[in-house]
Amino acid sequence: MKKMYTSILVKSKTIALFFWNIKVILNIIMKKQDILILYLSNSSLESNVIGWARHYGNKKKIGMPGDNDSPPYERGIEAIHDGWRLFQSSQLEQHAKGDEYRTGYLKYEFFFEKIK
Amino acid sequence: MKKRKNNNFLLTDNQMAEFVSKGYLIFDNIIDNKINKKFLSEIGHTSTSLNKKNTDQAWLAEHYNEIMKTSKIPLVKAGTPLKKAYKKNSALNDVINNPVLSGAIKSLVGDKPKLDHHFLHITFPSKYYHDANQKISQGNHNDCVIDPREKTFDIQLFYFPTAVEKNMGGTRYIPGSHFRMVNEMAIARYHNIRGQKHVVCPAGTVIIFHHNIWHGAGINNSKKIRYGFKIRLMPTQKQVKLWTKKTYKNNHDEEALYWNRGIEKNSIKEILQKTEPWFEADSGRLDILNRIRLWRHITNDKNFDAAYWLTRIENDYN
Ligand SMILES: [Fe+2]
Repeated sequence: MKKMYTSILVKSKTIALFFWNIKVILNIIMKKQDILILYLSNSSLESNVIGWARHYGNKKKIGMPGDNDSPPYERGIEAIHDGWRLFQSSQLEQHAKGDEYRTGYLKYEFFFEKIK
Repeated sequence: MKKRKNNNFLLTDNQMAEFVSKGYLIFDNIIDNKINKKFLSEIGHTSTSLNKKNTDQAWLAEHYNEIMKTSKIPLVKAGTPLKKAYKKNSALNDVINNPVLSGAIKSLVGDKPKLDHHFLHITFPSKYYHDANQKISQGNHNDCVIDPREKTFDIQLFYFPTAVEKNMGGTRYIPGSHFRMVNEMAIARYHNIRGQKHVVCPAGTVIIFHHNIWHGAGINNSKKIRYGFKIRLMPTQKQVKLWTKKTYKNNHDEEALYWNRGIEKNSIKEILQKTEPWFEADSGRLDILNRIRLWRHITNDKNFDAAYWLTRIENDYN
């Protein structure tokens, strides 16, 4: 009887250790995504940064509206030089007839990521 | 500012052009301290109101409701003529009758504007909030839905009865954004825009904003309460030559373009063509076109142009 208990205890300890190890490995594999959004002055990645936002995979950091008055990079391409990976950018769209002179949203939006 | 015989201070041509171009005018320290103090006492502000030990969210909401119920700020029905909105001898009546301000109001929306709404914004120091949402600054937005009016505009007076210091999170605003037709918080993704400004001002400052300007509130990292009293006014007439009796030219009077000795500094044409640091190369030009269009409208000078921006595309013989 005692032997049986001991063996169950040993087994459950092994199982717990197994899952703990999985968790450690998952933490290493599951890196987090940092996001950088840049708005540029024209459709070229070489052009100037006119707007920006940062978002962090790390829960303790927060990107906020108005949190910085100077841009992280002068030009879009500098983000690439700094290791950011571009994963989305806005398309060029034809101006709708009758609405050609109305301005609205910032047009040249680029999304970058860094996996940490 | 021009002082008229009837003691009205109307805006100058340059101030009007500045408003058309940037979407705001700042009047630093225009309201004297006596009136600021009167306003603060009328809303029930006490310097000890933050010394209460009870700093939970419920108390803050209660405090807000209390101010709404007991303060002397009147409940004014939407559409009330501004002249009838505030009681004589009240601080707010003093504010809107400040000669410089009433001149500016008259210049922009005429002498019989209606009050759309008013509101006392109270921003407590962020440490008083437990709700995480209150510790994040407000996203950029404009104070309207998609507003289809191209010529007519409302104004919003922001009155700051106390000084707004840098760490108090004064309103962030984007100069020159008032022609951009967007829908309120849709632009919240734009956390930072090159050239953005934050209100930092002495007590008694009033800023007059175009209703469509992009803005957002900051977080108050100080130990003081930040107050901002907003009054939204709508015109009841065409906003044409409300600040002047001058006749504008209505003829083409263009200088040499580009190959010239430089554009006259501080001229209307220069003010209207000044680009903002955030203007895209292409849309920024359209913003300039829209400024010129609005200037044509408010001066009733249908042929006015700067650097041929409009004339060039209007030369269509079809
Ligand atoms: Fe707002």
